[in-house]
Amino acid sequence: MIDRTWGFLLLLGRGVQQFPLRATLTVSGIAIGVAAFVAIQLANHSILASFQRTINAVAGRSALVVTAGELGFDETALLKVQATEGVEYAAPLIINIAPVTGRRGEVLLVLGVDLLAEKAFREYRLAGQKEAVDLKMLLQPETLFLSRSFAATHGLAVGETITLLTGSHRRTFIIRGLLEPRGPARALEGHLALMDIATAQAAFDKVGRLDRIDIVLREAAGIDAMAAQLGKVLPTHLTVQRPEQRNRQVEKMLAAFRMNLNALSAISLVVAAFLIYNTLSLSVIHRQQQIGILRSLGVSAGEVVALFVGEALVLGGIGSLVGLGLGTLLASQILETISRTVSQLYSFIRVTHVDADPFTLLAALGLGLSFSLIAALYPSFQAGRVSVRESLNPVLAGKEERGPRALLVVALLFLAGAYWAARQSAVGSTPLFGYLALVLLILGGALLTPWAILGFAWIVRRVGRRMGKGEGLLVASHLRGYQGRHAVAVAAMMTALAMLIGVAIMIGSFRRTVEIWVEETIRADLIVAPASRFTKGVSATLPSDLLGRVRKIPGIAAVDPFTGLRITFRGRQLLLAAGDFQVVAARGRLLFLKGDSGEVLTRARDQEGIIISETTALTHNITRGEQVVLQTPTGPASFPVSGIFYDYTTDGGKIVMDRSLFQRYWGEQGINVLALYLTPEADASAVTGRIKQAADGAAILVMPNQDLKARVLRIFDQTFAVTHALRMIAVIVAALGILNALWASVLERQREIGILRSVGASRAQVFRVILQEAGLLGLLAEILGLIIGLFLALVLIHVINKQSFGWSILFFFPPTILATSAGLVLVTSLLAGFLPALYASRIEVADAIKYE
Amino acid sequence: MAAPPMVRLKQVSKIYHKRPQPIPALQGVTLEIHRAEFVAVVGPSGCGKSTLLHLMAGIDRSTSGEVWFEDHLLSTMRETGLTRLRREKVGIVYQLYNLLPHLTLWENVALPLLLAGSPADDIRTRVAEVVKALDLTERTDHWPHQLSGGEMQRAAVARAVITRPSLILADEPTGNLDSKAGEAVLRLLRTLNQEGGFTVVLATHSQEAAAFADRVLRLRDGRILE
Repeated sequence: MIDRTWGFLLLLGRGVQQFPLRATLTVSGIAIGVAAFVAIQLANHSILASFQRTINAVAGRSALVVTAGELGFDETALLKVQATEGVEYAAPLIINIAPVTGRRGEVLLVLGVDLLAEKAFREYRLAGQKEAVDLKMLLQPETLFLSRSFAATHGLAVGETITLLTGSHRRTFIIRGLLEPRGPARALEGHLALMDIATAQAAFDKVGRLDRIDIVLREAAGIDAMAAQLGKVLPTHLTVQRPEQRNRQVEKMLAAFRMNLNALSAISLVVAAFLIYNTLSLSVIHRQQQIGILRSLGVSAGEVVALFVGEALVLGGIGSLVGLGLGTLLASQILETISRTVSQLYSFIRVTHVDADPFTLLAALGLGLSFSLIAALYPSFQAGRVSVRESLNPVLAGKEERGPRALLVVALLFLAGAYWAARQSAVGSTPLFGYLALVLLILGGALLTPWAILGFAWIVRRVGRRMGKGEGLLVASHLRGYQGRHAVAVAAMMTALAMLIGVAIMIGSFRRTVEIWVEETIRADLIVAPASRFTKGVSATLPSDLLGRVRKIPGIAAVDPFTGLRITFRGRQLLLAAGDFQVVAARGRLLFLKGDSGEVLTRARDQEGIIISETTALTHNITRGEQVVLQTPTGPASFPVSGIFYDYTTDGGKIVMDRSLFQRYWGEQGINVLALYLTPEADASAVTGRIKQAADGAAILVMPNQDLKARVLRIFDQTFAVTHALRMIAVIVAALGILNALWASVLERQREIGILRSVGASRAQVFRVILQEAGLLGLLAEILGLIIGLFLALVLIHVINKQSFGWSILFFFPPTILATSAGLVLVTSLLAGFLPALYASRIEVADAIKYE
Repeated sequence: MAAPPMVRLKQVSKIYHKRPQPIPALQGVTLEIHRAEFVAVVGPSGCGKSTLLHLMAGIDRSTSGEVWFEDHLLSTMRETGLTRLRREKVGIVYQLYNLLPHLTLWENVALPLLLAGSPADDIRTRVAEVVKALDLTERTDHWPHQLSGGEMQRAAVARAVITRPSLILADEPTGNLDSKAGEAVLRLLRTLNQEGGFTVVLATHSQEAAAFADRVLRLRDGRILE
């Protein structure tokens, strides 16, 4: 038995060793594919873990947490909580994100705490002290504690000052102490400032209000029962939940974003699987004679299958292991880009290092091996079926390959399946059938390639013969003769291209849609906002008297004051906003699914109705005219939906009402943004100057219309930056596939090339034939990729994006994608063809045509 | 004055540098092949027959000595010159036919002309003539694997003569054929030599095959015996 196992391993090792270049190419392809996948997984995981670390670090020992979204709530709720039977301790909190002045891009999570209540919840320790912190040091005005790591990074010391953008003001605080990295000081990867609650309330214009109450219960009290009990005592717009539920909310918030990136990164793995399939198929073809000899020596068909499966697992295993390392390195490169996108789209996040989660790594290794195994099955079974007689006879070995008809039938079935899947609705809010449609489309396209190659070869052959071109004829004959081998390489390239083109069309269409939307809806001449407005998570408002002063500035025809609050609606976060519908109806514009902007807005105002974004309508299945209940500080209230509008600003959805209606239920809230419409003769820069004067030193931004539009598009472009890298990776893996296939076919055709040279083909002719072949394979991949890519784009736009984010995207075909993808294909396939062509042209004729 | 020889070898040696020791394939071979001659090179496997043919065709280069083709000294010619020589003046027939498996019979035969960039009409006419002469007209659209051994070898001969070369080199052309088909191919070569005026060099291990030639050169261990 031992001998047999050794024999098996020896054959396996020699098999891998026999074609070192091919093995290297395959391992590289798998490594890159796995690396792309691992990088995205790890980056996603690290970001989520960082969110959760922050949530858990701040939560401390809390069993329950009371919140009311961004709005906060009246601090009298604290008394009600404390008075509730079963509550041991209750601690009020102010939580804010504040940009740090003079440190570009830096922010701090500012916690305002009740010094007396904190002890039961969280522990703080000052650098250089063994005792718990004496929080009384914070009672001095305008002081804070800073996390030690932040201070070290920025060279700050105790006694020095730090200036924060709190709301629309810049405030300077004295650093009274540095916090060791434990407890809340680890939040946002050590970006924490701790203040007394009164200081924080004053700094963030939240006097008399709280963001949160943390609760520790008496031992006997059941957590869920207490949550229900508190729910009854507190106003209805307050939420009582376990801290870990916040983690789930974050997961939910990021689910669609992560899913899309994961799906995109998995494409590289699929392309790598093609590579394994290709390598194994070529290996089987090249080793026909060896298989024949082995079989004639008594090796069973099953053992031959095991030999090839083993080879795939060895290559897949090495590739996956290398990929894990490479992916971890890559993850740290893309982490910043992805976390920046998450910060801009969802919530401010700071991620400093990759969390090399062993489970993620193991899963990727398992996936790499599984893909290798699946890809290896068919060629391995083919190896098991090799006929001993034919494999040992070189004359019989050169038989014509045929594209099996069954493949065509299966391809068409897959494409029909894709059509069916694309028409199914989402499972929950996950477009599972949409993803299935993508997979079926790619598989269907891949299975069409052998036939497409035959058709292509037929055309090239006809043209070649008609033009009397020997090279064309040879290219055609190779395409036809080796279609089985080439099909896999073309399919891999096609998959990568289809994805590249599909995603590019989707992004292009999305961008164009957003451009149109921006152009149509951003109509105000000037936008006034707190300077910290564009940091996600900051709920800064403008100085309360600014509106009155701005209205008096000459040259301003109308003002639309905008207030936005994050609230929880039917278990999900969304933005509740208020604006002056009269002004927007007259001067601004929203794009409604149905109806004219002015009419819908006027009707909404008259009916005391709300308008909701398309995302909200789709996520919660709300139609126009329906009554929607919102939890207001004054109790639940019902509003009719007057219109549904297109909106691309947030993926959580939006509910908007007229300012007067909003004030009736939510009271006088701060204004976040002023949209100003100027009189025709007004000079924008002069008005800007006067607004800044009116702001009286407050930290505000006055942005011309064009700047805001440009900003929206810039954020859009950043959001998709990572996908560029992912798409390029898939193309690189596919190029390795073409190189692999061409190299193998050149090795296989050495004798043929020798004959060709002996009947008068020059080195240059041989070189050109192989290069043209590479170019044509690339061209075919481009044509197929374009067709399949168009359909992928349709699925991405109308199914996946619609179902996961609820955005309507208009289809646009960006013409540049044709030039870019064709150029890319040409370059990669010619590069992939260059080495094999060079090798082929240098083959020694006498050696190549030897019989032995 | 007698016409100059078509091929002339002077003290030609060919040594393959292989480990553990170099293998001499030809040693000090001197010979001449005259125009319109039918010469058989006879010897057992491994005696250097194929190497000799490869040197004459400019496929391989000698280690020492001179190989002349008409008035060209092959060892001084560059690769492009040798390619042109093979394309225009030499036709080769192999034991295993060496038809390109993914070209039809017609395309295989037309290949040398296609590679030379001959006009399309010219190609069509010449291929039609040759396949007719070799009784292959019915099989022009067939793939090599659809042909019998004899048909494949006739197709190989057709490909060798399509450019009207000065020299046909046939390397064991009957080695893979039954005796009947083998004889037919030998007769064909003889006819081409006698009626077409082609110079033929036939490498073979068979005395019967050698009997078709005007002159027989015996080769053993890389040396000419006579």
